[in-house]
Amino acid sequence: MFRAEILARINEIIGRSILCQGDQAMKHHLQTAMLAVLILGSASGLGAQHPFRGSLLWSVLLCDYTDSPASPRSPADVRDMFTTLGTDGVADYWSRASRQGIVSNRIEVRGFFRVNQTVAVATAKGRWDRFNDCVSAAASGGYTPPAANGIIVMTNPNIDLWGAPGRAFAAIDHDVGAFGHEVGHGLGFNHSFSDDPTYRNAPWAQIGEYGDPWDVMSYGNVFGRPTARFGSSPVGHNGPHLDRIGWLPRNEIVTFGGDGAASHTYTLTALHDATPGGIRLVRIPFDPGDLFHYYTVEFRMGRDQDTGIPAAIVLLHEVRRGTPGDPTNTQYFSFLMIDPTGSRPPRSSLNANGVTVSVLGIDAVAGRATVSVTGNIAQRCLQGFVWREARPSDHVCVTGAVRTETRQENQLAGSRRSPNGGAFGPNTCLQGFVWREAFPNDQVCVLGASRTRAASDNAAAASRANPARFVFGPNTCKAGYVWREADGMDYVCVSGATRDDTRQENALASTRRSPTGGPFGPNTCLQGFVWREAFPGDQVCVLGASRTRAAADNGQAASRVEKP
Amino acid sequence: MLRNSVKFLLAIAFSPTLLFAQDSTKIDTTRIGLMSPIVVHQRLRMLGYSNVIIIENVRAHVRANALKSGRALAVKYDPYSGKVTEVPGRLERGPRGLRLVKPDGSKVAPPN
Repeated sequence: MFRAEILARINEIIGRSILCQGDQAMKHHLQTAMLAVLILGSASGLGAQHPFRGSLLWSVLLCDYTDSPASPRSPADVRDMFTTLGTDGVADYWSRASRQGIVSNRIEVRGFFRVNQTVAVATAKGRWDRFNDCVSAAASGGYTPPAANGIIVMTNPNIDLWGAPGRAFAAIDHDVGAFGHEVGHGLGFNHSFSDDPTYRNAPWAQIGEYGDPWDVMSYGNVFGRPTARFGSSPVGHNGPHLDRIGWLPRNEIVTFGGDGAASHTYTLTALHDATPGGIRLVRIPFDPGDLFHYYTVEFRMGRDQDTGIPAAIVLLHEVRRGTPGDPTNTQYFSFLMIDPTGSRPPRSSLNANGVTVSVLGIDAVAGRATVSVTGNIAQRCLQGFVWREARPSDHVCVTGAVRTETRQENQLAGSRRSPNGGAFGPNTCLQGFVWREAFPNDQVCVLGASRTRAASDNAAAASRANPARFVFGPNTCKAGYVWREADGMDYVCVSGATRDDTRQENALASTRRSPTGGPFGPNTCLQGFVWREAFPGDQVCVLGASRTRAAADNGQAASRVEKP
Repeated sequence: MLRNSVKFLLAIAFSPTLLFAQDSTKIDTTRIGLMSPIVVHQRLRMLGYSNVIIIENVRAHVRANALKSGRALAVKYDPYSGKVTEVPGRLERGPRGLRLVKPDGSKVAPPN
């Protein structure tokens, strides 16, 4: 969600209530206050932020109307759905998706609260009016959500379904998928797209929007499986979305070309396989001008979070900035790549932008797929440099000016050679010129300075080539920060000193635990130490100041990534 | 005069208030997608249906003819709650809109 949109929504909320009174000052104060609440919410996991692990801070308000039918779910059912692990509800969905990185036990479920109007009256109102009516009914009933909490309104009966950062409106009987999607917006996920230029899911959708049934952010156009109590549970997230929020360990992501290779065969583990390990996502950069623009490859099959998937399949996505309907949008979106022929299924092979991808085999029993990737990114130059092309195969990276001069030198070569040959054979240079020696046997005659420059460029070649070395994905830190690496999927950006401290804390962990356990189990700390809690379940014993620092760094995580 | 009248009518027709009033009478759908046929087939297959033929796919529900345990059923599926309603028979479109053809051949309105 973007600030302009947030402001627009705020204006929508307050505009109808007070603008008619002409109170612009009041409007300004309300804008500021509400924006502050939303931004505070972002620090609590409610806004467009990544990476994120932590507690979901939501208040779920159950509302009904004067003529509502009997509710198909009780407040206890909803509480189970949102907060109780093992019920196959929303709490389980987010816990699995995040590899236990999301904790739902602080979600507060309250209600039912009676909105004193009929269903018909509520249905006829605007969406924010309906939302606010329920919030007001809750307040009248004695419950005001904490300021840092997002709010989900659930009504009996169903009259609406929508979501925005920190806010969602749904029905009492909506399924896990609805909340997988709307809470996903609260966590900053965007809708997923396909790259099919002919696909429009609905009249209100952009071209390609909701076009990835293998990703919950295309809901309701997503595969799912029935649950015992809470309707359909959707498939997990696609690889780019998991990567964006930081729910794939570093050792399960590979960036093609990062090692300088031009071809590779990868054995992929199913993206949502619950057993850790294996390669889950391959990033394939191809655009030196935008290191966040790349293809990805992932393998999906019908198990664990993905039980609803109809068949094992390798999926390709393009991650790029903007959308068909909003090309100036600076955020990055995932586009499921579609085969434009036949029934337009997802692509399983690719040949574009110097990249080829082909599936060599799928072993559905073992849960593995083998794919072959080739590409020239390792040979490409960093932005600002181009191939010198002293000869066609000369891929030393130089400035554009040097390439231009090199071309001129090649054109002038004949005029700078001694017409009668000389001591160095037929390519002997006229006086004042020397062989360039940009590559072995490069006997183009140039000025001495040019030969020196060629040698210098050759020496610098490795440092100017292969942009893939600098592709670190959506959680790339701003300059001056590095990943904390408290565990294998800790992408919070911190100072180098903090990372060093964190490593040391991990190394000292066993020495700071009580050898005989204690009231907090086997990980009880020795006196003077506390759990670090850099992420849910982080029970490394550290000094209190270190825990405080970890919490502060977590709060700053979204502001320290290069691409929000 | 006529030009002014047209302007006035256009202003009324496209006024934010009226547009809002029109919009507010329906569920806001700007952030929810519809199930595509491949997804409808998969969801119903997961619920034990086969030979699924989609008859109607709108935001609020999907209606389909399908088989389950050898029985021909008219199925209504709520995409957002997962609620399924099934009745024996099959759905067909006719001049009077969607009708349920019961196993005895009689035709009635499909159940809500």
